[in-house]
Amino acid sequence: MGRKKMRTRLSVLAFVLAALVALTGCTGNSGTGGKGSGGGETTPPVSEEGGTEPEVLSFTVYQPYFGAETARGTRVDQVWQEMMEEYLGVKLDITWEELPWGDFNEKRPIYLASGEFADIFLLNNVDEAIKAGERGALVDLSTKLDLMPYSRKFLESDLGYGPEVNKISTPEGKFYTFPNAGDWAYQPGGLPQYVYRFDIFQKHNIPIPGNLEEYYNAAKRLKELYPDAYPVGSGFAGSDPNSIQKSLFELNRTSADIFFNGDKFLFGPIDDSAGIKRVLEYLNKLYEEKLLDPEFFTQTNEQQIEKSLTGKIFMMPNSFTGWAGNHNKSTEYPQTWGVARHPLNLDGKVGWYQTPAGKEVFRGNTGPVISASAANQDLLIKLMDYQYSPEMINLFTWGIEGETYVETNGEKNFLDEILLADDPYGELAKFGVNTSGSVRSGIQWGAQALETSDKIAGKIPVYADGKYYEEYNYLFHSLGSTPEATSPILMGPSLVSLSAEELELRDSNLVPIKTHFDGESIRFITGQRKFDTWDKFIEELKGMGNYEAVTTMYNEKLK
Amino acid sequence: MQMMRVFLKQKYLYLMVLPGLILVFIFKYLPMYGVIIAFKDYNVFAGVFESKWVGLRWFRLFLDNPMALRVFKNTLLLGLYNLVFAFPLPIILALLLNELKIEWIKRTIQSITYLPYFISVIIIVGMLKELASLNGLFNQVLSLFNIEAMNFFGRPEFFRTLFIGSGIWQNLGWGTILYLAALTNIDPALYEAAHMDGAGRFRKIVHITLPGMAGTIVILLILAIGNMLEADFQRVLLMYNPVIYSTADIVGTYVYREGLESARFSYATAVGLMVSVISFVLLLAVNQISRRYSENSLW
Repeated sequence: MGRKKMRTRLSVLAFVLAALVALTGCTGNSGTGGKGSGGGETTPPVSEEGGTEPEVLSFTVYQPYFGAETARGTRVDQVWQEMMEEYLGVKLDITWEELPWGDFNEKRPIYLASGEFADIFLLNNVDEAIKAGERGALVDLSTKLDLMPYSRKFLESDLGYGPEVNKISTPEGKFYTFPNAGDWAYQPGGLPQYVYRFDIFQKHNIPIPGNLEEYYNAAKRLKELYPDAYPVGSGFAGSDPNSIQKSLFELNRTSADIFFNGDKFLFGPIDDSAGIKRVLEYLNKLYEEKLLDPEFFTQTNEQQIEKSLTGKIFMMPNSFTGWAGNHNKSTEYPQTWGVARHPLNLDGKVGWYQTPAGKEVFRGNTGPVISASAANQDLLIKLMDYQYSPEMINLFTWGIEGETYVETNGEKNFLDEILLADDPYGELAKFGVNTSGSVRSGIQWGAQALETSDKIAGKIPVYADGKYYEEYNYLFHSLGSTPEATSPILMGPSLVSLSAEELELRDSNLVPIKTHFDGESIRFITGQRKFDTWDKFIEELKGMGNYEAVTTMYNEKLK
Repeated sequence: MQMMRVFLKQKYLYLMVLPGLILVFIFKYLPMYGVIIAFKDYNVFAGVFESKWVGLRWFRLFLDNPMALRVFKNTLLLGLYNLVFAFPLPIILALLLNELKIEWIKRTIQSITYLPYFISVIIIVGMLKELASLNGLFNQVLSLFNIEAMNFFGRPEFFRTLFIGSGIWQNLGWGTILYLAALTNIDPALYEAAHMDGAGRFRKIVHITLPGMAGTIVILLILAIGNMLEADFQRVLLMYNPVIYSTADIVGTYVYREGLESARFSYATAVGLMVSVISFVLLLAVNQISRRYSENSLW
């Protein structure tokens, strides 16, 4: 081969390589101009006036999954699709784009910034939904209520302080998310929970605390018995360093945020500075006397679990619901954790902790949204709405009759092979029943009924009215519900709706104050900052943002 | 003409550089148009060009923010400490390794010091949290001296030490590679001549080894100063908590928290742009100084 020929070939090869690299960089979503990648590419769109419906409804869904696997291919997911197709009268061709929950949350801001949305996607933050919706990126569902017979009853449900839809609406009544709603058989709530090592309390005849003074005394007694232990632990430490304060603030009828107190909106750290200070002083007393775990705000969840299993903590004021059930299963470290009613607060009153009672209420204010650029929007709305129908709630909650549950004399029960299995949740996950918590069929969040959680989890040790006994966890809290324990804080979002601009005003003023408060409140608890600087601290907070502009805005709207 | 001739002569070499240039252009230069959103009220749906122009609004908002000074100070201090403590250590280690005559010991030390570099920063921080926990190694050592156990991650005064220390632990070995490569270029005849002249080890290091590495050191120093404000954001994010924000909250974490997590993209871009401009000015200045006072510079 001639030298010249060789050179020519080399040149061609180099150019091909360069071109390939360049092309690789250019591939991806090649400029659909923000269209949902699946919607309407192969099927004719339905016109707003009700034109031709497609034979196949193609669309994309972007959402998280919660266990090791997605629900695709499970029995419940198959039945979900069959029921949907029958209801809508079209075949469904869904492209699922799913990420593990952690990754999904981490990538959410980037996803929103990209502007390249799937036709339906989950927005786990109602403020973001309002901001994106007001910028025209999402379908305004308030104009489509006639297509939403099933979700409408959840949206219009009123617990005495306005319809639930207010929680997700703009001041003009527009809303963009389908709610994370549930059909509760009884009042949910009671979170966070006050949990105790019942076996240790009983062994040493230590009474389960009925108020915060007794709570302190119990911790002190345990410290005497177990000098190496820090009796009071903190739940959620790995995910929220301020969790323990938040729990005690609410028990003492205040908050570190802007909140509704049943009468008006206050910004807790400044407007209720005395109430906040009292709680921090109480926690500081626990800390100084080595009763509170000094790592309450830095430890990982694994470190916290290790401490509980090895007898280093005996009580927690902010546990999640599964704590007692999970820990009591340990055979290597036998122990009995149980749940008790919340102690009375520093004023000797019942604290705020219950969510308002009522069926058909929102579980959270976030949910799936429909991209404004999706094709066949009316059909997609009908599809989403159908997830709130009784038959779909039954499917998500109980699964398939004969395969996961049986109904006798109107009462449903999971099959014995599920209930009696070592891991009933795992058995449900195999079928894709949403109650499993890990493998959830359909589009998130599917509406569910709550009572099954109790049936699956079984009874746990509880303490109330001077007696130890066993009860279903949620039911236990429901039975202890009183009107005075119902937190008005949770009513706030129903009472006031903010526009994207108002949300920006609130965040730009309050976020710096809250950031400073979060850090300094821990410094007060740990003694790194002395309480004689409290007045200076409040002045620091006031200098960080115009909190009054925000509380005024909220209270003006309340009128 | 001369340049053209050289270019034509080396055209195949330039051709081989082309894919790299295209990659840099596509992934580094093209996306730069995005900085425009720092001057706009970015609307995802309207797109970069159609969003409303707001001028310097986001820059003013940041500078008016009471946190701005703190995050800048923290970023600058972390960068400075990193420069003072973390930058010289790989040079020292490289010099020490160069003096080792037994090859297997040298290789073993290199492998041991390289190893942490290949461990994910999440694992490194996880290990650090275990070591610094109440029952961890640090507190066990303190207990030998009857010092009460403390929560290192809950004290702002320890953050910078933990951050710089863990950075050194992870990157020390890897950082020596370039210096060791530079050492191989030093002519052994120089050492032989120095030996003949009666120079000891220390003199050889001072008069031969260090000057031989000077070019590499200066280039890496210029780059390090350019990156001074780009503290390892991911590691800080994993290590910090609200109580140590006073020393740990840096521009990167602030932008992440207030910009990305709150979906204030224009604001985040404006703050990021400010830092990039300052870094660029620093880089220019140091490069200029280096060019004036030494023979080494980036350009």
